[in-house]
Amino acid sequence: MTKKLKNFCFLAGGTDLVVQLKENKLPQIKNIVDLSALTQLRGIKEDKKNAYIGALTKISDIQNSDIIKKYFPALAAAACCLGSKQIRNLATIGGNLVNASPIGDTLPSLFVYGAKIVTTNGKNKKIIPIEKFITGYRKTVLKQGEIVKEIILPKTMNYFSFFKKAGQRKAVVMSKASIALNGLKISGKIKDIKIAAGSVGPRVLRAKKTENFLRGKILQNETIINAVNILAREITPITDVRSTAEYRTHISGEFLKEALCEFAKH
Amino acid sequence: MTEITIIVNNKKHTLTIPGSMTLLELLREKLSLTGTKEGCSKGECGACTVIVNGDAVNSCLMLAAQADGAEIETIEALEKNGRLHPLQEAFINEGAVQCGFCTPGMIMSAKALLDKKSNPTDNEIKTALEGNLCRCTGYAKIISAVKSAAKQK
Repeated sequence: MTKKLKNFCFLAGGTDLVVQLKENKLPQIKNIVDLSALTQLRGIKEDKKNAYIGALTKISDIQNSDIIKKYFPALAAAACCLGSKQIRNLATIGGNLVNASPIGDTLPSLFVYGAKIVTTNGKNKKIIPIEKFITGYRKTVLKQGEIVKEIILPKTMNYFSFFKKAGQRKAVVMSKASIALNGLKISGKIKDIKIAAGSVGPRVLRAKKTENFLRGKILQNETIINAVNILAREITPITDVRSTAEYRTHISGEFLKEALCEFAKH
Repeated sequence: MTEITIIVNNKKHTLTIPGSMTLLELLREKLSLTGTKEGCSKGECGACTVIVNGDAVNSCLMLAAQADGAEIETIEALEKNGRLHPLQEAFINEGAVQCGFCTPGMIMSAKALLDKKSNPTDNEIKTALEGNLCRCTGYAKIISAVKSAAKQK
């Protein structure tokens, strides 16, 4: 159907799109294709290896899902602090993903859980790792006529998860900085670790230099301080209406310190 | 233009509306249910809160066409045969209304909570109301009103 349609966009929850349309920020859009009737794109399933989150799953359903709380607690934590209850009852994880905002609340957690994005144009399906799916500021690899069908999250066992977001308020708040972490220790040493930082670059950043430093190490005070210093050099925050680059760097470091201290005790 | 059928306050309506119309605009302009208020039009203040299929939502963020087939409850539904709902009575008795502009949205958010959880904790009340701004009351009396209404139910 969308092959014949011009100047259109897809609508999921609408919590960002409707505002943009009403503020006339998308004057080129003349048609809206409402996806909300596609109930097969809603819901969370699991098998032994993975969880499968339909793109139209509401943030409130992610927040309340036993599967997400058990295997992906950082994502559940992120869902809890997205917007407000009213927004969470409309907004979808697919919408948060496709918006690809650098401050998208669910994104850092999706990065540390190694999310794979399933896209479709109605005929053909692609599976794309999230780091290749989001290419820049509000940019994804989605082509015209393609939608996100679902998000695959590989399950991990005995991992430690962390998510924290800094903002002006506790709710209805755009984040100044956020940190997500997913890691595994064996005999006290870090065997595997993924760290993602939000709101400190044009897109969510996987802090790979910080991860490489931490891998194989025991979490002692000096290690944590060094990791925070490496993160500070890895992120590229800006100063804008919401915060300064200095504060964003500082709070990202504080959140990483908090995450690593908790990971040390895990 | 698109035709939709919605149930608002237990009454069925079939309407032809522009695709760009929000649920808030439909309620206020097509159905003259002006109890639901327009505060910010961006989903940040909660003055437009209504209950759709049991969930509190910002009606300014929902396109009316997306409400096709939905059951919607607005503030007008609460009073029945001249009797105020326990939430409305509690808001009055506790002094939780000053200018009153946020009140319909506050009450609908609170109702959505109490419909699902009859004995919420203080934190659950605050979370349910976190998307509703009030410039007048300082929120304390609003929270007391919701607690009081919960006890009445």
